[in-house]
Amino acid sequence: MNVFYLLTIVIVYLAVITYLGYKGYKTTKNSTDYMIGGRTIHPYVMALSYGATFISTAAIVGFGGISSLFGMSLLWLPFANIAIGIFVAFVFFGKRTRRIGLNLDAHTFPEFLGKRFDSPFIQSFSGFIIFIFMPLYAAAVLIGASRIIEGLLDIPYIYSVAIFSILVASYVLMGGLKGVMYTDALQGTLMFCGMLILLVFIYINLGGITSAHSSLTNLADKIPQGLQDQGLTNWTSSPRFGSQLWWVIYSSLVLGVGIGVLAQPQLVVRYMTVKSNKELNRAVLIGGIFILVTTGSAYIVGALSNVFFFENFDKISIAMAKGNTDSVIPLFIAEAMPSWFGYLFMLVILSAGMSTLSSQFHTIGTSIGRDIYKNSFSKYYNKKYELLVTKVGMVVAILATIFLGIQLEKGIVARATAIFFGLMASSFLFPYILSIYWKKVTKAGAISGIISGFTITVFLFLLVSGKEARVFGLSQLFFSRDTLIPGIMEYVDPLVFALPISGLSTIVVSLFTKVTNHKTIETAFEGIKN
Amino acid sequence: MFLGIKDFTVFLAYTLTILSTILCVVYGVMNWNKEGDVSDKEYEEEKNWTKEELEINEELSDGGDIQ
Repeated sequence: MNVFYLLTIVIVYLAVITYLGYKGYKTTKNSTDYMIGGRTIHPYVMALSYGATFISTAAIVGFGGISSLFGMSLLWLPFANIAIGIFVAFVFFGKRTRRIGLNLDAHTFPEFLGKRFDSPFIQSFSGFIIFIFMPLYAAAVLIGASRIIEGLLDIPYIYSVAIFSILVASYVLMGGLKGVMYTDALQGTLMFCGMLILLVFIYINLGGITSAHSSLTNLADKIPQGLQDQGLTNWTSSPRFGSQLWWVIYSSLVLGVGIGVLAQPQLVVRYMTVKSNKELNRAVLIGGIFILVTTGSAYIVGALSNVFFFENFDKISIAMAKGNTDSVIPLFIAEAMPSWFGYLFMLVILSAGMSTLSSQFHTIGTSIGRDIYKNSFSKYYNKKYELLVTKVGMVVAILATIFLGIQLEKGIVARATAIFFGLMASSFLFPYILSIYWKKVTKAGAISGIISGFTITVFLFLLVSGKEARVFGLSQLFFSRDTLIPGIMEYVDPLVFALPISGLSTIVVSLFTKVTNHKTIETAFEGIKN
Repeated sequence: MFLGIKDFTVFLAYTLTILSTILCVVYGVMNWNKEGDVSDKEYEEEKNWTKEELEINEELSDGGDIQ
């Protein structure tokens, strides 16, 4: 790859992104001030912004890479991404959230919950959870992008982390959060085009859809023994029911990320940016196609890369990538695609990484400044300090993200994403659903739902979930064994237990306590037909 | 074998991914112009919300107005 061409393209791209962000910001500001037309976000911009924030380098590189190992059963995830992450999210969550959010003037997800339940504690505690754990997800996105830069430029990983971190940190800290929605839309468009080309290319290269799938099916005897022992029989089959791999794929990756999207703080606020439900209706169409092409391509290309590598190098993908699933997609781009695509894909990756990271740091910034500092210390509130706390919080979060990006083990991207999505779902999903659909859910009910979901998830990760429990070592310290409950429980995602318990506890506690904030509920549900 | 895929459940996932996209497209087309009416109160709320959102974004970025 010609570094001069690449640098030129990247610089032009960054200039366009900065210009569009600034222009988009000014347009919104002017139209808000002077009440002229187009004061709020167009459905194309909203859908692409939601999509570009939702689908990151973690999905393309991490989950694409995991598909090369686990095969096409992972396609349940794009199905969930579209059916739940777009259709259910916009139609059943978006419309109500938008109305209630505007009625209560909420600007962040914790603020939405806090105001709905008249509970500063809920707002602060939710902000705290997000502030602490969001860097893990941000690190997954950072690693995803850095692996691509490493693969395309053929430079050491640490340099690619440094390059991408500097790019993102300057973008975020020098005003990149102002026109986020507009730049997201351009970035989403680039992602869409790049991933579509990749999908078409691999199917043509492997002789068409059926032929490509058949070739993958016929590679069954090349599946590594370790994977076979974990339950994988074919890359176009589901793993054996109840096997270790079955639980990892369905409970953690499909369920965690598929459902977890509904309670993602950086996505929930997007609903409030459109001017009516009509825009959300239209965004369903655009968002559905966007997610199909971006995630569908990543997962199909990931799985089919085995055929390409085997036919050309006599090795399957994981062997080509020397055991690191996060390197499979970058390697495939470098080896299989024409060199011009490498340049385009670099922009796709910059887009996918920057759009998600900027939203993540935006969410982190508002969590620490607005949800924790402003909300918890209202007696001593000072605007200057809020700005300072926000800035310091964001710098700390960026540094934590970079630290994790360097320290986390190889092949971690999909897992780290699933952990964050699962934690958000376990803690917030039920209190959130009930807050928009059930007027009788109480503050105590919501608090018990959030705390039980959060506590159970953290407890299981620290002591039971195999990989994580080994890393933290608490089970070893207190019980002299790697994990508290050895066996299949090590592979069942904490979400499987935490989510129903959180839901049950929200409902049961609500039934035994009284709603006290009648006025808030009246305001919140104004304009919503039951 | 379905489209070269060995397992019916994986074929189902493949098909449902495409069908769910078609559902999104059909829903979007059918409701393209629906629910567009906005009351004056809603308009006012939206305007104030956007204004405050811009202020938050300014604070996050540089703590001041860029105009």
